[in-house]
Amino acid sequence: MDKEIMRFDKVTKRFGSKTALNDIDISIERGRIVGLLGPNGSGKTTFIKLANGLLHPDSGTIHIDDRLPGPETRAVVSYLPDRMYFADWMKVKDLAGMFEDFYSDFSRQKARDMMDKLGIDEKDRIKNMSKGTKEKLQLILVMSREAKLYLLDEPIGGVDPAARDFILKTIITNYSPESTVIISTHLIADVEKVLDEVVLLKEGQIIRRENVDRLREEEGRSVDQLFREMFAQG
Amino acid sequence: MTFKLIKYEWKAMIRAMLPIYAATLALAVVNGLAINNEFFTRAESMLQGTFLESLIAIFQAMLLVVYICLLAGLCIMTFIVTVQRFYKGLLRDEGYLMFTLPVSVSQLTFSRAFVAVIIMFLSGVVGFFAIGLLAGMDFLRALIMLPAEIASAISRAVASGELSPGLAVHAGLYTIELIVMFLLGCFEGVYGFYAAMALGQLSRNHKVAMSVVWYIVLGIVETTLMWSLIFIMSGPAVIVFSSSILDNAIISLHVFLIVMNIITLLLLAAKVLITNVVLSRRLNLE
Repeated sequence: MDKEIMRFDKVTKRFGSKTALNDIDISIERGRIVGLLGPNGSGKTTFIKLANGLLHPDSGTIHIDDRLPGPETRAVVSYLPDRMYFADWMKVKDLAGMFEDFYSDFSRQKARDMMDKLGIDEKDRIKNMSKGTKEKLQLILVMSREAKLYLLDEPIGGVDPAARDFILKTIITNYSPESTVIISTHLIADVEKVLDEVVLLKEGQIIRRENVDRLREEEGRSVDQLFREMFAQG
Repeated sequence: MTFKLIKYEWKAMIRAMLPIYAATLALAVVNGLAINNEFFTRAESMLQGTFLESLIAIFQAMLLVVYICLLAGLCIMTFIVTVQRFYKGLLRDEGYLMFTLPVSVSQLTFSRAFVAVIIMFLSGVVGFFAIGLLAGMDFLRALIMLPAEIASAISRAVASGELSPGLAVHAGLYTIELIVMFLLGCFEGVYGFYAAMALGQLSRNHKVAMSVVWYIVLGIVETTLMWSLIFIMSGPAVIVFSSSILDNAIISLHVFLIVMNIITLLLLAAKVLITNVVLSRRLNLE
């Protein structure tokens, strides 16, 4: 088995005249928790959408688990978008059934256990849930897969601190050590403690990639502090 | 995987359509009873000239108006649900789930089109029953008798020599050709909406308006191509149809139906290609 789970070779993505990602070269190994950090508009979501095949690069190639993005790679990638993707008419059991039907690596029991802890019943209708509960449910379903690569786009954006703790705990306790987790966020202080390495994006380019412990040692401050200095406005 | 997609699409579509199916059929039964039931007609004659008679007449008229509105609503809902399931289910937030399932884009679009065609057929059946039920129980009786009536009419025609076995074979082939034409036409119509929406989503803003513009553009292109084809083929067609080989109305009709099916198939293929290529290469989820 190849050591790397994901590789971008000279990947560029433009939207009209705006270059969202510019000539990105990166290889990410298996068994890592990687923080994809950068301010709004730095290209984090585009990076994640390219990795799961929702977008196609204008130039360059992407390999996930040694394959080009497609149905086969989507079977090994578990993706949490930065928005709700549920159909309102569904009940929790419909959605869990859908994951069970389409993803052979989905564990319904694992999902049920996590839902029980939050008091979510499989008979609950999604449209009656609060925004926070919907977000947690989405995360539970995504993390109940034994995927090789988890792509989590802003998993803690827009939730209260208590919910952030739940989300991070869910991520840490449910991914398998051979899997890689890529977390995109600009709320670094909360995720810093769980990351193995960070990739800093600015205006569509990788400006730094570093092991978190080494970065702290070299710079003598937290990643959050470093981030604030690097991206300070004005 | 396609079957699983169809299963979920069916659940989503049928739950949207069931209320209008039920309401249309219920109103058809009520109207059928109000028009044909002996009790109502006798009550009407007994109350002739009274205020109650006009009240019943107003009530009946209102029932009929609601029934007609529901029949129109049935067509409109079928259209709306077909378009909405594609737009909302693939091109809006739900697309983030659907396009990250381990399935191909062609499986996603086909499963939706397949269920949409079934829903169109079901709406047709419901509409047929809704109109027929106005005639009351006679309609149901006639419907039950229909297969036996057809069978006996055919056997009578064969016995009297009016229907030769050869002609029966042609009738069978016509039926197949017409069924194929119906199915291709339905899929071609549905993929026409899909192709327009796939092209419309390429726009950064006003995706819905751009989908309508693309639908009109595709319609103009299609009509222009059709007429050009007819113009180009009209010369050879006259020769073929007037030749000794096809100097037969029965064969000519087969040729006509097959040519129409081929044209519809080509149009369908073009629309499927546009939809799948655009969504595979240029998906533009917000």
